[in-house]
Amino acid sequence: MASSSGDRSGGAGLDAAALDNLRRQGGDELLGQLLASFHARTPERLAGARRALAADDRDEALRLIHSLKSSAALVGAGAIRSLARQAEEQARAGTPELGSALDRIEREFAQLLPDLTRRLEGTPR
Amino acid sequence: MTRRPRIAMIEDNEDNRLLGRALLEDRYDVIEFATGPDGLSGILAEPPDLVLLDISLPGMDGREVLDHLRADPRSATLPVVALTAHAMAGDREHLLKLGFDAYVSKPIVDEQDLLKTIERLLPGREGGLA
Repeated sequence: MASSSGDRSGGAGLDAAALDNLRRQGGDELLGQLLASFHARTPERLAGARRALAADDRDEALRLIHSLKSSAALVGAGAIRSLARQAEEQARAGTPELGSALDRIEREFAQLLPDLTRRLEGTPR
Repeated sequence: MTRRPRIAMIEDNEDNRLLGRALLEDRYDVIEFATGPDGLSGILAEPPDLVLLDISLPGMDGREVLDHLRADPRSATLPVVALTAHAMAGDREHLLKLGFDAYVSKPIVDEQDLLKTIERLLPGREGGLA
């Protein structure tokens, strides 16, 4: 049964077990594609969620946060996955403000970038 | 020569589709859809042998897609596997009660779980992996 491997990240790096599993499932090419996608799409999704909030479109903001959570889980970015999940839960519970959740995710992504970049440089795409 | 089974995957996250294709395309013909309405029209136009259906789709979610599939004679008996990150206790029973044939957790860490589930549900299969 699937486990919650994405939660095992220590915070500043991607979970090695999740990455090893992806490499086993699809080789270095799949791993490289998923890391590149996470690297490129996380800032896009964050920016899109901010634009959606500014336009009072919470559904679109939540859709982007959900996508972010799912992709973070895939590459073992446990802290981002947890933050995105919290944001979803808060939104479902009626918390009106989502901007600070996006700030936290953005900070976490910035911390993750050195590890993500280093790993990206070592994989084909 | 026997035809390769066709699997339709309805999943809005590109990365999950990429992983799903990587895990399945050696064995099956995989057709991908990013939204519920696109998946529905594609499936009804050319029904696959099995459907992998994300629950948390934007707009028309997986439960609603399933209702439409079950209501149409062209797709009423298709095996449909729920893909969901909501891995809490009781979810499995709830999804089966809604009419899903099986449930696979995301992210897909154990691809054997997915493959065994598909083989068990494909029409005419005995449930074993080649």
